[in-house]
Amino acid sequence: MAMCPHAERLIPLLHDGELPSLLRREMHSHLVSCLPCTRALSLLERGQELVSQVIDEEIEGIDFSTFWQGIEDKLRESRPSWPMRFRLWVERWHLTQPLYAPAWAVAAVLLLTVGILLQQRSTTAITQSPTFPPEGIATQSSPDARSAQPALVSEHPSNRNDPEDGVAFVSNQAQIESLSSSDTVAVWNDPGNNSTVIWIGSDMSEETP
Amino acid sequence: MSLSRIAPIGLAFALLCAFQAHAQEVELRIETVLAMNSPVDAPGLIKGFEGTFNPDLQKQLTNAFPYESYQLLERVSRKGQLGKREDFSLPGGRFLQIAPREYTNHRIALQIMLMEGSAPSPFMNAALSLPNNGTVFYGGRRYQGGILIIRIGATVKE
Repeated sequence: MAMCPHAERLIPLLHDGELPSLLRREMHSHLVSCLPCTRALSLLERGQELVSQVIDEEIEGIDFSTFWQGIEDKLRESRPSWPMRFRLWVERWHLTQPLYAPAWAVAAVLLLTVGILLQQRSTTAITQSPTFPPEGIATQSSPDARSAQPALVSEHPSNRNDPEDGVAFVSNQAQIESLSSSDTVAVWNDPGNNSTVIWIGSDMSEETP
Repeated sequence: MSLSRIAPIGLAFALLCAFQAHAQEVELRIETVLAMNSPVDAPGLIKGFEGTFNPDLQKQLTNAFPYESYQLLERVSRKGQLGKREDFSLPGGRFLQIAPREYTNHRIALQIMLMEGSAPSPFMNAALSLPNNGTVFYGGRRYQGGILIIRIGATVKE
C-alpha cells in the first residue's frame, strides 16, 4: 500500500488537534481524496477509543465509597511521637542552620568546665567534716620562735549534744592549720565562749590573761 | 561571623558569667577592743564597757578575758570573695590582712596576717578555719596603756 507523506507527519497532529486552522482545513480536504491518510486517522481514533475503554473499565472497578472516609481517617491520625518530632526538627534545623564544629566544641568545653566547678562545690558542701574542731586550752608558748605550731588539748568536754540544750551543738572553735609569729604565741579555746583565742605578746607573764 | 557560630559560645559565656556572679560572698567582721586593767589611769575610759558592744561580744570578752574595762575602738564589716584578700587598718599603725581561701564542710578557711611597723612586716601569720559565722580572737599587742583584742568573724551565705 502506497503511503502518503502526510500520513506520517501531519495525521497524528491533526488527531491531536495541534494543526493550525488553515493547515487543518487543507488536511480535511486532503482526507477526502487520500485513502492512506483516512486509514491512518481511523487507526489512531480506534486506538484512543480502546485505551479510553480500558481506563474506564479499570475506574469502574475501583470502589470509591470509602475514599473520603479514608482521607478523614488520615487527617484524624495522631501526631508523630515526640522522638519522631524531635528528629524531624533536628533534620529541618540541620538543613537551615549548618553546624559549626569549632563553635560547639568551645561551648562544650566551657559547659564542661562549669559542670566540674559545680560538681566540686556540691561535693564539698555535702561532705561532712570527719573531725570536730579541736577544743581546749592552748599550750604552746614559744618565745624567740619564728614558728609556733600550737598543740591543742581538750580541757572541757563542753556541753556538746547536751539533750537539755534542745538544739544541736555548734562549735565556734577555730581549726588552726599553721601559725607562725616573731613573738611568743599562746592559743587556747575558751570553754565559756567555745571560741579560740590567739594571744601574741613579747611578755606573756604580764599580758596573758 | 554568623549567628549560629556566636550563639553557642555566647550561651556558654553567659553561663560562666552567671556562675561567677553566683560565687560565694564572704562577709568579714573586725571588732577592735582596747582592754585595760587600770581604767582610772586612762582618760576617757570608764570601768566596764564603753561603746556600742554587741551583747555576744560583751559576753565573750567577759568570759574569756579578765580585764576591768573594754572600749570598742572600731567595728568594720566588709564583703569580700573567696580568694580575694582584704586589708584592714588597726590602731597603732597595724594592719590586718585576711584572705578567705575556701569554704568547705561549712567552714571558712582564712589566711590571716598581722603586720606592724613603719615598713609593715608580718609578726603573725596564721592559716585557720572557722565555722560559718564563727569568730576568733587575737590579742596581746599593747596600745595606749592597754591591750588590743581583735575579734574576727566570717560568714558565708549558703
